[in-house]
Amino acid sequence: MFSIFKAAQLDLLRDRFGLFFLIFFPTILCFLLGTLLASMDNPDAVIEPMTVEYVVEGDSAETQTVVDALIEQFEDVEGLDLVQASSLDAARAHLDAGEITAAIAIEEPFAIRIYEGTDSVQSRAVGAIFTGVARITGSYQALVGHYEQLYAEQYAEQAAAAQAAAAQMPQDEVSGGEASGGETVQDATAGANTPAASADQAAAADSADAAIDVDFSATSLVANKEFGISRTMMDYYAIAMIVMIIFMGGFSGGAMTLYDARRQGTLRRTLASPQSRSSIYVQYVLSWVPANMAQVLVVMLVASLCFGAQYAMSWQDNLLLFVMLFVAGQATTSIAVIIGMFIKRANPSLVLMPLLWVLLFLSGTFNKDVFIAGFSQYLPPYALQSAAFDLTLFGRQEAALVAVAVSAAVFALALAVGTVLFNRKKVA
Amino acid sequence: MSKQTDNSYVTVSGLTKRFGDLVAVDNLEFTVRTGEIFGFLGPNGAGKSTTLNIISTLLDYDKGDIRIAGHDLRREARAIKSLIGLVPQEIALFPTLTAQENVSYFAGLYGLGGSQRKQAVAEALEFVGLAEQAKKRAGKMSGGQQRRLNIACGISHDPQLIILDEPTVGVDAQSREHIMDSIRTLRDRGATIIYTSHYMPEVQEICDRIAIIDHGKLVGIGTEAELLAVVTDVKSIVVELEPQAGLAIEGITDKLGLLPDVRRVIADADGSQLRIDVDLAFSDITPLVKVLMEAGVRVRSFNNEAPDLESTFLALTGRELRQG
Repeated sequence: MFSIFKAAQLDLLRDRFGLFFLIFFPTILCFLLGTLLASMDNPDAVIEPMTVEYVVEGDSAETQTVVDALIEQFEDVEGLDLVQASSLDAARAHLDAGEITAAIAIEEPFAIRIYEGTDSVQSRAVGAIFTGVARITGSYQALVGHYEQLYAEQYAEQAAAAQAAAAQMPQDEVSGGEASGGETVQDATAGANTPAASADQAAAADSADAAIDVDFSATSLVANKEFGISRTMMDYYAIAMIVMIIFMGGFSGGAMTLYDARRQGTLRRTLASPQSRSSIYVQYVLSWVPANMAQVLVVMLVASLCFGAQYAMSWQDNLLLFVMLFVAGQATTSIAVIIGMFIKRANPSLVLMPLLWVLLFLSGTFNKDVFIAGFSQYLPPYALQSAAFDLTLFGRQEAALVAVAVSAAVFALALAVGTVLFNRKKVA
Repeated sequence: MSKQTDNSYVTVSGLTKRFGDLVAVDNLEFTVRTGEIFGFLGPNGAGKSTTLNIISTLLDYDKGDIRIAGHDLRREARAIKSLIGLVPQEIALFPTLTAQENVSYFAGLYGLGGSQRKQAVAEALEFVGLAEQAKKRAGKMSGGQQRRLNIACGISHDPQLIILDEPTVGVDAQSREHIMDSIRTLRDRGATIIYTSHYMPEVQEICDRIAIIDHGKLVGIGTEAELLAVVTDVKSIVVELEPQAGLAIEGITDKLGLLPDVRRVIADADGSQLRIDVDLAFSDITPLVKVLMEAGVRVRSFNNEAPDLESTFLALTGRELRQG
């Protein structure tokens, strides 16, 4: 039953050429490019440690609150010390003496004035940091202002509605009733100065909160995601390399499956056995399962163990990444086996390789520093890379799950079509 | 369940196969008897391989009826496949697998498993004299060993019908002798064998009956004696030559071949003998002697011989067996 599968595995393990492309070629690529890319992750200049003295030019409670929050945010940042200076003059004197990196003055309304030191690289870093702080704070203030205005408008609308309702009520009910805490809407809205009216205002505010549902915490404004800041080139390159290898390996190996069996004469002899053609074909295609798993694993492990490449943050996402790349490889193989069925006179691998390179070229790629636009973002190599980065960088599984589903469907369809075609062929 | 009524194991009736406009097999009819070695001869392109591919269930056919061990080939192909052992002309092996693994692979395809398969593999390797090479990779074996392993892969499941397509191509004399002995042993064990070869002496030596086909048609069938009796218009003159250095034997055979009534001239490998097939009416050897003297050939003797199977084949097909 599993004779073909077993023989294919033994053949693969003992075939130097096959082993080279399955294990050594990806490993060598990892080492060559890993070494090369590692140097690209080295900084051009070391900017830390930096000491920045600040002074607060203003005494309002709001400004102090913002400054306290700012200092708190920077407490855990390595390599950057924020120290309060006694005065701007004192800070500038320290700056002139080269004792600190920069001095900043925090002014009212919230604004930051930066006094740069003599080290241009460090000055640019400080400038970038506090420009970012200022921009985010500006955005934050704009947002707060927007919601303040929104609340004010909603409150005004509710108050107007309450007054209108009160105006329509019989006068004796309004004057005769002893207002008591929120018993009825009418009572509550009878007058803004009554306890019932206060309770109603609070309810209206709650209602507005519930309707708008805004979280004003800082993390809601800046999503705490990995945007590549702590990512190395290898993290990106390992995935791009696996995608390239599964397409190369899948196309090349798959197309050669029947060609090799035909060339060795074993196909004809196998077809003369009582095994059904369907069973023979399925075994030939499934015999690539271990190889497709291995070529993904080899790159993932070598890049990770030797060059510290990081993939997803959880083992579940890493498993999903592996499954996605493996199933895509298997789908590629199953298509290539069909193509190889019809290429008898030439080496199918050599015929398909230029087409594969065109496909990879048109698909484009991207990584930490580079974006190469492809012909279409729906081409499989690009779509796979995109899904993989979505999963590893942002923990979003949707694209990966779609890729798994599409690849599995393509694999199943190709297997079915290939089996039908293989059964229809009259000569081995 | 066998549906046979006589001792015919394979019956081919009205077999026709077309490839486009080309009729590769044309209304072919023959039977192979149970337990015989049946020689299947024909020049290249005669339809021999097509016929064997059809019998091996590898190729569909347009018309005709084939029964093997009483089974209809069209309707009971799977049952027939279990009965057949195919030894193709090309070496059909996995070069990276050992002899044992190669035989085990093909035994597995025929449903043998576990200890039964191990035993079958060991017996097949023992049978072809490769028991000691069981762990050796096929790709590392000599041509002769590969040929023998090729046979082992075809017989490990103990088939009733063995199709041997040129099993001795490119092997040394020792391996050839081993293969010939093995084939006889298989026949003696009860297997029916269809055998093709380009070496006429092998066919004469081993086959119980022989069929000759040409252009997809049967042109002769029977025992060697029966086939020789068919051709009565050819005789052979064997010329023994003195050893001579620098003799252009090829030019001489060409000149002799142009003489009237001469059908074929064959020189042996060392140039010490010429075999000249001539029409039965040929009686005056003067033109032959003249050509030989002009070429400076020193002749030891002239002898008349009865036609052999090679002559018969030539007479029936107009081509030599080894011709393209």
